[in-house]
Amino acid sequence: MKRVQTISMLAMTLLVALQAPAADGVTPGSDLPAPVQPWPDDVVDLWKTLPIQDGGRLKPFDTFAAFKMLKLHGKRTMRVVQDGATIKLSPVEWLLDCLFRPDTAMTHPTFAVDNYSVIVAIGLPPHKEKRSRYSYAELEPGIGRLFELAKQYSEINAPQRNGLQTMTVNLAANVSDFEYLLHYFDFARLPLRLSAAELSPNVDGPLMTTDALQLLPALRQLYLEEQSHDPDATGPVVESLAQIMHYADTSRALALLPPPDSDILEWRAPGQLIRQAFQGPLPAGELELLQAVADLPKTAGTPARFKEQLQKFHGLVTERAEARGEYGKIRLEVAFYKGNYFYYSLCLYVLGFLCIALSWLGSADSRSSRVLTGAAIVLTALPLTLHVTGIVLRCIVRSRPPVSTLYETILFTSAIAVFAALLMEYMNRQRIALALASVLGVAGMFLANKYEVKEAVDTMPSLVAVLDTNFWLATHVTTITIGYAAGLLAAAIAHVYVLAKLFRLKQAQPEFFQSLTRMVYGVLCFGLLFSFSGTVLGGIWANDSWGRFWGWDPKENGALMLVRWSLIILHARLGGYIRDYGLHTFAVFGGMIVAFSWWGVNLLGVGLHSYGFTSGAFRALVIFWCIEGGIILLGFVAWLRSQSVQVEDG
Amino acid sequence: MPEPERQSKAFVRIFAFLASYGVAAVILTFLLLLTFLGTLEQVDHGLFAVQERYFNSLFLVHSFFGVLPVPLPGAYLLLVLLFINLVCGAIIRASKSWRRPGMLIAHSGILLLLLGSFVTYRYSINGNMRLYEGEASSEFESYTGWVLEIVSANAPAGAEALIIPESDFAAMEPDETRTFHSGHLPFELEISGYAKNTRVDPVSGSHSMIAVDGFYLVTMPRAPAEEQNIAGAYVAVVENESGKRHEGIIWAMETHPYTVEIDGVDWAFLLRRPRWTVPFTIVLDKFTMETHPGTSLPKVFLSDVTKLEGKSQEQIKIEMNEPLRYKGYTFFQASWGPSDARPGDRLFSVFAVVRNPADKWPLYACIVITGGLLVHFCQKLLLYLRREHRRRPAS
Repeated sequence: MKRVQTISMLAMTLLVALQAPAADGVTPGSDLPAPVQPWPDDVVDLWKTLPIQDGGRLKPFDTFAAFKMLKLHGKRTMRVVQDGATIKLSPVEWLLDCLFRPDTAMTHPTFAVDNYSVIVAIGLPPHKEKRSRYSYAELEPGIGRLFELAKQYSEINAPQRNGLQTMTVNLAANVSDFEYLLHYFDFARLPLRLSAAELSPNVDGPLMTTDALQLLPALRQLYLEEQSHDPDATGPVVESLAQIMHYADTSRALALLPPPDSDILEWRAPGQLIRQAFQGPLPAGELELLQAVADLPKTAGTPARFKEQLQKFHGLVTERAEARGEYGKIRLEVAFYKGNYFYYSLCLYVLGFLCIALSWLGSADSRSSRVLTGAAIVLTALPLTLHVTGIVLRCIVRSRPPVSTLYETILFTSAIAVFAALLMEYMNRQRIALALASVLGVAGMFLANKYEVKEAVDTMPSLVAVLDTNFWLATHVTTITIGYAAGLLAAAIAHVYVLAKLFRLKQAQPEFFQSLTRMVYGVLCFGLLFSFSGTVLGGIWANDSWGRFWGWDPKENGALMLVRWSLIILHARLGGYIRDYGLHTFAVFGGMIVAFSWWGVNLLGVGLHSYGFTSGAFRALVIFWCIEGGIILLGFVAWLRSQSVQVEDG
Repeated sequence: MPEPERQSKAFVRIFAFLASYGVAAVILTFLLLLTFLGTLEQVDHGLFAVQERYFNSLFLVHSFFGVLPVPLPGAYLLLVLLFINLVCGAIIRASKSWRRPGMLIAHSGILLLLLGSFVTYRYSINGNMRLYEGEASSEFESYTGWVLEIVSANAPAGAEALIIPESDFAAMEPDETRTFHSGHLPFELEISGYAKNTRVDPVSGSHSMIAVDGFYLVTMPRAPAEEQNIAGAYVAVVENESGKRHEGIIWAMETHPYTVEIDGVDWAFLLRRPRWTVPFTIVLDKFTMETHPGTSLPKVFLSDVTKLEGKSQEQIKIEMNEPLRYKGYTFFQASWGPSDARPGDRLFSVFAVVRNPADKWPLYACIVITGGLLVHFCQKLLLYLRREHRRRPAS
C-alpha cells in the first residue's frame, strides 16, 4: 500500500515536470472539420434523465447541459452551419459532442464574445460582427495569450476591471471549462504508454487507465524493477503513471458517479475514483461503475452499441441514486424544463395584450370589442396558469417555497401582479387592469428570461445555511415580494392616469379617472399590508438568525423605504395634502422605490443581502429611474395645466 | 380673552398640530430620506458610523453631492416625534368607534414597535462568545467599545481588579491627560493620547511623537467597520508614596499587557472589550460545519453545547435560525473557525449573545399591526365592492 502511494507521489511529481497543456490530449483525426452527426433521440432522452451532482445538488444532465451552454454560448440552442445547411443543436447534443466527439465540438461556435476587442487583444482576426460566436478551433492559436492576459487581469479586483478585462477573464474561464469537457473522457479514450501485455500475459492490446487500475500490483512490480535499474529513469512505467494522474486531473468536470455509501454525500467524477484507486483497491461496485462510464466513449462510434452501453450505465447510476433517495425529482425537473412554461406564457401574455389593445379601437359595447376582451381575459388567465404551474413545479422540484433567489422574485412578483390586476378587472370591468395584467406579465417573463440568460447559472441553486429555512422563506420572503408586486402594480395604474391626463384621453369620463384613483389607493393599501408585515417578519427572522431585529442593512432599509413611502402617501392623502394627481405621481415614485429596494441595493455591494446580482443591471435601473422620473414630471405638467384650466373656468 | 381660555386654545392648537397628518407625513418623509441617505453612505463609511450618525442621532449635517451641507433631524429625534404624533393623532384624537377598530389596533401596534425599538436601543446588550471545542464560558464580550482594566494577581483583597469605562477617557482631546485614582490602588494612572484606531510602530529617525521604550502610537483613520478599530493610549503610573513614574503604551491588540511592579505587587494594564457574565455556563462539545456536497457553500453550522447551571446540565443544539433562548439571553450561531482548519483540527464556534428585554415585542407588534390593517382594509374593500356593485348596473 505504501509503495502504491509512493508511486502516486512520484507520478504526480513527474506530472508537474512533464505537464503538458490539457489540449494536447485531444488528437484531431484530420485537418478537415469533423462532420456534425445527429444524436438519436432516444440516446438524447436517456442522457437528459441521467442524474449529475453539480453546485451541491442532484440535477438532470439536461439542466447541467443547458446552463453550461447558456454560460458559454449565451443561448440554449446552437446553430451549426454545415454544407450550407443549418443544424440546430440542443444543449445535451452539444455536450455529447464535447464529451464523445471532441474533434467535432472544437469546430462548434461555442463561445459568445460580446466585443471583438477581446479577439484582437489575443492576436486573432475577429469576425466582421462586433458580437459573434467563435469556435474553440478558431480561438486555439490565441489561447496561450488569452490565459496570460486573464491571469494578469484576475489580479485586479472584479469591480475595478474594465469591460475588456472582464470579458477576457470570462472568456478564459469559459475556454477552460470547455477544455475540461473535451478531455473528460481522455482516460477512457487514450491508451497508456505501457502495453497491456507488459503488465499481464493474459491481456493484449493497448493498456487503458481502467485496466491499469485493476493491475496496480503488477504495475508496482514493474515500477520497482524499472527503478532498480535506474532510479532516475523516466521509462514507460513512470510515464504511464504520469499519464494516469493527468487523466485523473482532466476527468473531473462532471460528478456522474454516486458513492456506494449513503453517508458520503459527494458524487464523484472518474478522476476522483482514479486517485482513490491509488489509496487502496476500489470496491467491486466502484470498479463496475468506472468501467461502465469508461466504456461509453469506446462505443460512441456505433449508435446501437452506444445506446446499449448508455442504458447499462444509466441503469447502474439511477439504481444507486434511487437507493440513496436522490433520484425522485430528476424526471420532474426534466419535464419542467421541457414544458418551457415561462416562454409560452410570455407569448400568450403578448397575444393577450394585443387583443385588449385591439378592443380599445371599438366602443366597449360593440360585439367585436366584447369578443376581443373575452379573448384577452383568456389569453391572460391562461399564461398566468402556465406561469403559476412553472412556479409550483419549481417548488416541488426543490421542496422549497416559491421564492428563494433573485430570479424567483421576478417570477413570483409578476405572477402576483398579474393575479391582482385580473382580480381588479373582475371587480371593476374597465379593461384597464386587464391590459396592465398582460403588460406586467410580459415585463415579468421578459425580465426573468433576460436575467436567466445574463447570469447563466442554475436558477434552483443550493442555499447557504441561513437561507435554508422553509418557514422564513415562505413567510418573510413571499410577503415582501407581494409588497413589491403591489408597489409595481400601483405604479403601473398610475402611469395610465398620468398619460391619459397628459394626452387628454377619456376627458368626458370622470368615472374612468375616479376608478383609477380607487384602484391605486386600494393596491397601495394592499401593498402596505404585505410590505409592512414582510419587513417586520424579516426583522423577526434576523432576530432569530443574527440576534438583532433591525440592523439597517441596505435590503432591510429598501423594504422600510417602501413601507414609509406608502405611509406617506396614505397620510398625505388623508390630510388633504395630495389629491388625485399627487396620489398617482407619488405611486409612480413608489415604483422607483420598489426598483431601488428590489435591485438597487444589491448594487451597493454592502450588507448581508448582496446576493445574485448581474453587472449589467445598473444601466437598466438608471434608464428605468430616468423614465419614471420623466413620467412624474409629465404628471406635474398635466397637473399645472389642469390648475390653469380651473383658474380660467373660474 | 381670559388667560385660561387663551392657554386652552393654544394647547388645542399645539395638540392639533402634533396630531396632524401633515406632521406625520413630514416626519415619515424625513425618515425616508434618512433611510435612503444612510443606505448609500454605508458604501463609504460602513454600517457602524452610519448608524451612529443617521439613525441614533438627534441632528446631523449631510453633505449632498459632497459639497452641499444640509442640517437634518436624526432618526432618533424623528422617531420620538413620530411617537408623540401617533399618541396624539392615532390614539387620543382618533375615533374610538367599535365599528372601525382597524386603524386604532394598527397604530397601537406601531406604538408597541416604537417602544420596543427604544427599549432595545437603551437596554439591550449584545456581544459574542467564542469557544473552542471542549471549552466552557459564562462570559461574553462586546463587539465594540473598550474598557481599561487594571488587574493584579497578587494584590491585597479588594484591589484585584478595577475597570475604567471607555466613556471616562474616550472624549479626551489629543493633547489632554486625565488622571484616575482609587483608594484601593497604590498609584495614580494618567491616560493621554487615546485614539480609537491606532498602530504601534518602532521609532525610527527623528520624530516629534512621544516614545516609550523605542515605540510610539500612530493614530490611524477610523475604519468603516467599528470592530476593526484598535484603540491605544499612553499611560503613566505614578506611585503614591514615592512619586515614581512608569510610562507605557496600552494597545488593544497587545498579546501581553503593560505591567508595573509596585512594592512587590504586579499590576497589569490592558485595553479590552467590555464583558458581561451570564448566570449559567456554556460548554462547546462539538462544532459541525457541513457544505453542500462538492462545493464550499455552507449548508449547516451546528454547535452541540451543554448548558450547566448548578448541578443541572442540558444538551442543546444551536444552529442557524435555531438559537438558544434562556433566562433572557439568546445565543445565536454566528461564526466559526479557524477558517483554514483541516479535517480533525480543533474548531471554535462563535455565538452572538444578546440580552434584550424587548426581544419578542416586534413579533407581538407585527401580529397586532397586521391584524389591524387586515380589519381596516377588508372593511374598505367591502365598501369599494359595494360601490362598484351599485355603479355597474347604472352604467
